[in-house]
Amino acid sequence: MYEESMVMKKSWIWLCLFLLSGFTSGCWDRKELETLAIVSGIGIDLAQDGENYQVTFQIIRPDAVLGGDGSAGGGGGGSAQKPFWALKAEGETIFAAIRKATFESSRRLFLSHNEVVIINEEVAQKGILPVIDFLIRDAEPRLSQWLLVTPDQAGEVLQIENKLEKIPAAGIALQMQNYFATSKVRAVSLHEFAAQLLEKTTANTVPVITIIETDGEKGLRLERTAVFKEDKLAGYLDQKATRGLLWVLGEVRGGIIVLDLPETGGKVGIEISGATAKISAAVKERPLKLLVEINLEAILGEKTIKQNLVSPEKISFQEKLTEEAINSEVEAALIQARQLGADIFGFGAYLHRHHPKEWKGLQHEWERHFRQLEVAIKAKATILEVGLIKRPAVPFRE
Amino acid sequence: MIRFLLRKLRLARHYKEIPTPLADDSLQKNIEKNIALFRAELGESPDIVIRRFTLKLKKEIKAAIIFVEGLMDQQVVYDCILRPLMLEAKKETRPVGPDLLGFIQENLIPAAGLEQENRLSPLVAALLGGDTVLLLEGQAAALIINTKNRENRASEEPDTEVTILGPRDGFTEDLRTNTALLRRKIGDPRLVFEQMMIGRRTRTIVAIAYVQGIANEKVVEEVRARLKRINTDMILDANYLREFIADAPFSPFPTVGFTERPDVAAARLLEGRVAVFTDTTPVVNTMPALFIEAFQNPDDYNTHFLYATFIRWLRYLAFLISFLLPALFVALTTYHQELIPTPLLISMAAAVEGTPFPMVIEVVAMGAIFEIIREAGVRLARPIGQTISIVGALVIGEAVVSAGLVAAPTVIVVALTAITSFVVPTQQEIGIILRLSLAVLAGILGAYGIILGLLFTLSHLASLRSFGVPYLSPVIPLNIGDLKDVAVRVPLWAMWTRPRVIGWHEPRRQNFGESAPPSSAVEGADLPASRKSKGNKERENLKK
Repeated sequence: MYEESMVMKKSWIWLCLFLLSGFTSGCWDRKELETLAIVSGIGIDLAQDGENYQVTFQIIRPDAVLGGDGSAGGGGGGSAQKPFWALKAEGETIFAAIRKATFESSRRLFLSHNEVVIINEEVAQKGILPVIDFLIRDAEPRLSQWLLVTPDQAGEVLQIENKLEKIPAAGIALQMQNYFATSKVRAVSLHEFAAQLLEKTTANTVPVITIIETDGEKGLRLERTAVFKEDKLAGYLDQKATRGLLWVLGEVRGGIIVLDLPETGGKVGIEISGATAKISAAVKERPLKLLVEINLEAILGEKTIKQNLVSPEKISFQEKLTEEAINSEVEAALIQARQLGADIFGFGAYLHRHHPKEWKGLQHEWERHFRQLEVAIKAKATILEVGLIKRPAVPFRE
Repeated sequence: MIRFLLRKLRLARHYKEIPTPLADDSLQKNIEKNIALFRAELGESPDIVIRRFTLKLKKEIKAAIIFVEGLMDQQVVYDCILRPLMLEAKKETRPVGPDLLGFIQENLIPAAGLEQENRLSPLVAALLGGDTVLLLEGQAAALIINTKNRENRASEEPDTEVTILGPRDGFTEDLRTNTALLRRKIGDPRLVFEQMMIGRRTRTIVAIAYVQGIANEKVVEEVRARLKRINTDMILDANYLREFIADAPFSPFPTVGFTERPDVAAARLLEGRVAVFTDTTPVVNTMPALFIEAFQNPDDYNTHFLYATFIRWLRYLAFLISFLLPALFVALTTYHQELIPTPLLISMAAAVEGTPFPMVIEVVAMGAIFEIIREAGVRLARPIGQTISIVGALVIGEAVVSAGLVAAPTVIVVALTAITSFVVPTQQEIGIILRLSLAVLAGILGAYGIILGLLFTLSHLASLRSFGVPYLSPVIPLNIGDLKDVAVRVPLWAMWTRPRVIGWHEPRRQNFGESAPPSSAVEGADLPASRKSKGNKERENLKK
């Protein structure tokens, strides 16, 4: 009897625990698929009054995406219907604007699948912390969404149709992910931006997207890189300097370096296949001295002249030229960064991590130190392959 | 809690003592009185035949045989009883001693089974079992002559457990045929059958089978005890027994295994299990049962082990899909849209556009409709059953989507679930319950609900035992050695021990490595001596 009552007691406890567990689940939010407006891109501009934000949401229309251009079957007709809808809402804050969007939208905005956040230049100059705080704090938007700055109206950028992708924001995201073809764009996610913001001295860099017009049709192009000091836009790097920055960060994954050959006037395209960077510092000296060692593995990708360039001497000559090219790119980045007084390379963070004692003396006047910083660049390029043909395609006698 | 309820129930139930047969029902010397006794017991049913005749030995003796028409074998009755007693007895010259029945038994009746009995109830029981009873004037006893009709449908491959390779025989409705089928699989004399009768009115013969030395004596004793405890008036099928002796009577998981295949039964007996045969049903119960049995198909052992392992993993996957997919689908589409890849979400959103019902209702309703179609297909005669499935598949599946009532992904999910549920047929019943309840839980609580449901199911499974053996073993508790027939199916020569939880009495099937790949004696005759195997040398020694 005793045993049985114990068993009973136990099973009551288990039952209670089981029932209790049903109520300890946190947010409870049932939302049917057809009640959601899936947002693929968010654009943030200043409203007319210069105070409030005007937020543009690029909302996907699923049946228009699948229906295609009125081809077989589909949702029936509606070939004129765009696969997305740009919804605009104004608000004192981003969250307020999102809630105000429901005045115009029959469905609740769903931010989890948002891929890009495009911020207008003016907003960026005022500071983007108030903008991204909601996007980081709220549970729905992802930290993996890409951050971009545009000198144009962000709302307009989100309305431009992509030539290949049905959803323009997805197209922009893919454009960003193509950075390794040139390494002249730096793709930055919200997460990376927020992480660098915590590093205090490191200046954030964010890609810039602009509206271009070719043959009367509007398109989007990634060019330049915006430099932020803390959360405020401070200036821009050009594409050469952007790759200079990526060399130092060790983020170059691919791209082409075009070399001008002296004397013959020909050009050689060197394809980057992998690069690493290593920073070291001589902290005792004033001004501070930093050494950036860049190691590059490359492929001879193309050449425009008839001479055979594949011989040990010629290859090492090209390697030297490549190294010079890298030097000049990094130099360009250094010059522009010094002008802005923005430590885009994270040298401060490097010193903080590797030389904490010295860093204590430096951190308060880091911007001054950074401007005076002497950076030596030691690039080492190795050409490993020459492609499928060894000799020139056209016979040439020297 | 369940036990508490049971106890209440037990109190509420009124016990009636089951009438026991009269203490004294011995036969008398007068044949007419004896016949009257039988008539009183059996009534005037036309299938009970009383055939009177005169037995002429030295003097004439009134005699009668009683049998049940249809249960007995006409030929045997004629050849072994009527002909010798009526025609050949006249020519008998040997002296008849005082024991007339003994004399007849020894000299006159050439039947295989003969027995003397002087009490009415065993006689009636034998009669109803198909035997013939011989009564003689002046004898207070009778002879039971085995004239059982063994005609039965031929052993066929069971529809429920089909194999591609492997034997095509299956158990039938006749107990003796079934035990014979098993004897043919297991030649070991230590294969033991124990017979008992269960069911006061059906008087169903039940046979316990086990291999002495392999089966755990305690399990055999437990089976015996549980069977003896059954106090009901009818046992019509193996499932009647199963429900009476299962460890967890409320659990939807089968804690008693069953099969219709002699090879499966033999394999289970040789792993140390106990089988219970029930007369008049082709299903044989085996115990202890493990959860994993549902995934071990006889074809696994009839095909190459690599393929068998692969197929077994597919079976696990199919089982997971069959009860998880609808729930996951509901949870993802109504709670966790962020977990669906964007392109997939868009195409699902497009499909869902305009459908009137919430996702849970769609999934549960379509699931229920599928079960109805399946049930209708099973119940109806086969040709009509096929029509039903076509109507179900084409008309309902197709029309419901094109009418915009249900989203196409839902139909895909339900269809996939339906197909996968047939991969593991023995767990199919529980699959349906689990599937629908998890889908409802997912509709209420999302993925959290699925986790809760799974947790509950898993803890229930882990608490189950079948005749003392943990239901989830050898996975919980883990026995790495026994994963040889769970995680993979190792080659048969490497499966050198029985499952430890069941066959630990005599764990070894064969010596380890003994039957491993053949020695090179066969093909390595012209190899250099150093590379010849030891076995080869021994062989050469033998030749000398």
